[in-house]
Amino acid sequence: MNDLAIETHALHKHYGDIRAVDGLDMNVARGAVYGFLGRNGAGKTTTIRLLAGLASASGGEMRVLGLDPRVDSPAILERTGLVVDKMLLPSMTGNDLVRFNRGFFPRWSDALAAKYAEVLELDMTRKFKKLSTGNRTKLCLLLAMAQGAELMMLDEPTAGMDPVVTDQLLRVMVEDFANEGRTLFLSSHHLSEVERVAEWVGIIDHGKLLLEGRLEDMRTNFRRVRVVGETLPLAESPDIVSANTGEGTTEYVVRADADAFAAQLVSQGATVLDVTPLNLSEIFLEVVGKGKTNVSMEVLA
Amino acid sequence: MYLWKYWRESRITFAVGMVLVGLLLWAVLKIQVGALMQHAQVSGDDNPREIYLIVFAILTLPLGFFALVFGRFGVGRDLGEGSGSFLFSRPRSRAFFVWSDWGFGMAQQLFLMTAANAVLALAVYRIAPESGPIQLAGGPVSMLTIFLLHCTAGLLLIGLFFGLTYFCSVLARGHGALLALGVVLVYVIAKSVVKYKWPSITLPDLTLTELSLTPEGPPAFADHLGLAIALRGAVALAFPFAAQMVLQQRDIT
Repeated sequence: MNDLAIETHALHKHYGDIRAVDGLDMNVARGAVYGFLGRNGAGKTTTIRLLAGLASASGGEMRVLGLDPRVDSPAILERTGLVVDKMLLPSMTGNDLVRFNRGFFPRWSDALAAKYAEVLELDMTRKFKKLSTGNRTKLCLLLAMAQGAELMMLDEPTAGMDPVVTDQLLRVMVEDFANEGRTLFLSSHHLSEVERVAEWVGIIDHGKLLLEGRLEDMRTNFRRVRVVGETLPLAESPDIVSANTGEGTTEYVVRADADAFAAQLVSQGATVLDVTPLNLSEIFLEVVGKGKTNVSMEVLA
Repeated sequence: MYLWKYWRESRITFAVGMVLVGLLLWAVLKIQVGALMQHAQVSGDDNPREIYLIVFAILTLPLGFFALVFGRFGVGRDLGEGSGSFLFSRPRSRAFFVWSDWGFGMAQQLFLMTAANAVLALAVYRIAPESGPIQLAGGPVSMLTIFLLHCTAGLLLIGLFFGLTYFCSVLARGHGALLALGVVLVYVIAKSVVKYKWPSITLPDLTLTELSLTPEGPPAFADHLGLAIALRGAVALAFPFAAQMVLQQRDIT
């Protein structure tokens, strides 16, 4: 059995001239909690739609639970909980939706549905269209989690929710789902939430995966190196993510071997002020090229 | 479970259809049968079963209307309400959804039509239990044959309208019934225009003309009746197939 829950290779999705997904290479290990990060319009939702078989790819390859969504979509969906639009059948109540959903999934659990309804404080007798945005999302998640899926793909699961509900949801997702060895793939631009639950992170921008790795490794390896001087000889390294100059100092962000890089700068006559770690939010901003006055890689080269 | 969803959506229309068709049937029988019975008493004609042919023609109109309404339910409605992603992320093929909708919708309407026809046939039988078969140009034909033929004609009309609306609902999401009605109206107008401009050309009727009615003499079975049934059946089935193809090609948004 393949040990990847999701894998894509050179995946493309074009809408006319717009490249929503542009050569995406991504690998999500089975049992991982994977945070799929990107700005609005980066290609997160489109990627999830492709993986679920709701949209057809323009090119490339993808496999979900070892199956091709283009031909095996029902088999994938039987084992996958999906929350993408947060729009269910408007005239049905929560109980109706449970009844409707039950017949589709062989591992469906009414007990789990009842448990999540209680934990998430959901009124299951109200019609979906009468629910608030937060409660709609909760109901979507309840249905996805009660189906006994091996893989959950959630698109912005906490969007529109207050902090209390967000906390409840994240706790339920991690404790009841991810801790049981199942795979959780969630897209978000709420970095603090992802940082709280994810073990793996992929950062997408303009349809391309810019960075993928263990969150712990990123925290260990990404460093900001602050150096005195604005006219330093530019260090040539593929590990430099950005270089910003100003007020007599230069700040480099490197993705690996920060100590070696600092030593290289010192050997060129620079004075290194400090080498500090970055949190996920800072890493994200640097990777998508929006950190302060970012200098492009081309300039560095 | 999916059929339960369709039933849930369509049950009010189904109930309204039952009541309206029943009322119409009752009204038509009350008026038409009374008049014909009176005519039979005056003229000495003791075989009023031909009223069955007339009443059925009236009955097809509401059934056709309900076919347009039923076509709005199912996948097209879900796409219009924005719940397409939820529906199509249930582990079934898109063909499953289309044919479940179509099969269940047709079954409901078939029930309506067959029940209405059966009530009609029984009413006629109650009025004239002893009279013989209906006299057609080719010879006497049993009530059962006419009953089955009427049901076939009704089924083809319902299948056409229902399939057309269903397909239009998949294409135009929430506006399927309007689009289908527009298509039907355009066809009816085009048929009249063609007939006026080129009198030798006759576009096919939307309904199956199972009997040729002439001013003189008894009616006869229409020419090429089997072919007409087969072609109309093919057209009626083409719409759900087209809906399936469109859905399989389309990205669900």
